[in-house]
Amino acid sequence: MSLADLMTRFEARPVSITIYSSSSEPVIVDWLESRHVDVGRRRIPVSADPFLVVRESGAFLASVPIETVRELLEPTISRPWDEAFVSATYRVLFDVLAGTVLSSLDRRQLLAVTREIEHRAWTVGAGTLHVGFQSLSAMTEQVPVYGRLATETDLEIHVYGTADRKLPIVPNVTVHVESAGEIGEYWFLAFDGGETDVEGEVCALLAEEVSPDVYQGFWTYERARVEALLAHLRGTYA
Amino acid sequence: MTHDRPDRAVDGDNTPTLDDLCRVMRNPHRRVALYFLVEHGRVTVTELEDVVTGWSHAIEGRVAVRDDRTHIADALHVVHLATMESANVASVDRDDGVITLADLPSGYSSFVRWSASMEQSSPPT
Repeated sequence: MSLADLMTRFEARPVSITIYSSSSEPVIVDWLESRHVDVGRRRIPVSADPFLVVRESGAFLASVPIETVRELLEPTISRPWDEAFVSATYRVLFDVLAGTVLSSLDRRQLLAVTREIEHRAWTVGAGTLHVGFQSLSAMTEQVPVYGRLATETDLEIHVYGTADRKLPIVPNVTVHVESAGEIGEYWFLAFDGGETDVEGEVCALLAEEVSPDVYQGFWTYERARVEALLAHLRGTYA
Repeated sequence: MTHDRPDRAVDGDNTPTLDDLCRVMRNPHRRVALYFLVEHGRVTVTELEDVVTGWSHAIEGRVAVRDDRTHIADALHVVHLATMESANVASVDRDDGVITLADLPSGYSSFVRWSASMEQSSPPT
């Protein structure tokens, strides 16, 4: 088993989306179609606020204002406990689009997903969180966030990265330094949910950098997929 | 002395009157349903439920989930579709799950579109 195997075995949820708008919304259509989601379009009057309807296996899942989708495309990045993040409307899309394939996400969008998983870990306050930002230099920017996560919660935190620079010592964080291989190619987070059985607290993100600043992968709240990623990380890098 | 109202239909004529149209448009969710029907003429009831849900929540910048849609769909089935039918504004084929806009008198569609353009300054509640 490898991170590549986990990526290959991922089966996307059968999600379809209809955009209701007076305009063609090309940016959002392109973004959604790049996720291998069936996208339809229907016209509504120009005065109406555009929205999209998400269905899974034909059943209604959610309707989302287009403005909210735009916020996710260019998210404001704050810390996982900041009110600006907690109250961000676009967070609902993490639930709606979980389990779909994501391709052509940039680092900023990926960081927004990352914040969602960190937020859930912060809220639970216990359990194990595994994090790989490819390189330790990328991780350096996140040291203040992980320093607080490690000192103000009971989380057990494992950080992975290639040794392109020395990481400052972060108390209560275990750093796994790798010389090469898959750790340098994938951005991932996996949170085991601690002792909670609340649906959605167990979550993971796995994304491969397919070209500079362009990622493809998925995030999921499916316990089996999260467990598979956790098992691989524990078995390979413990 | 009686005064015939200019919008009154003759007996046996199923053409909706202006009163009929206004009765339909008195409710914000029926208005949204009517706006969408005027755009497309004939839609599935399922899509109309989606549209009324999404449209009415988008006005307030809100996401709607399944429970929100169920609430709106129930009201559509119990009240609003029957009101639109009794007003002769639309007909519902319950076997096929399709709703069709009636032939509206001249100017009614323009009136509905004008109303839609006014909604931004007067959002449904």
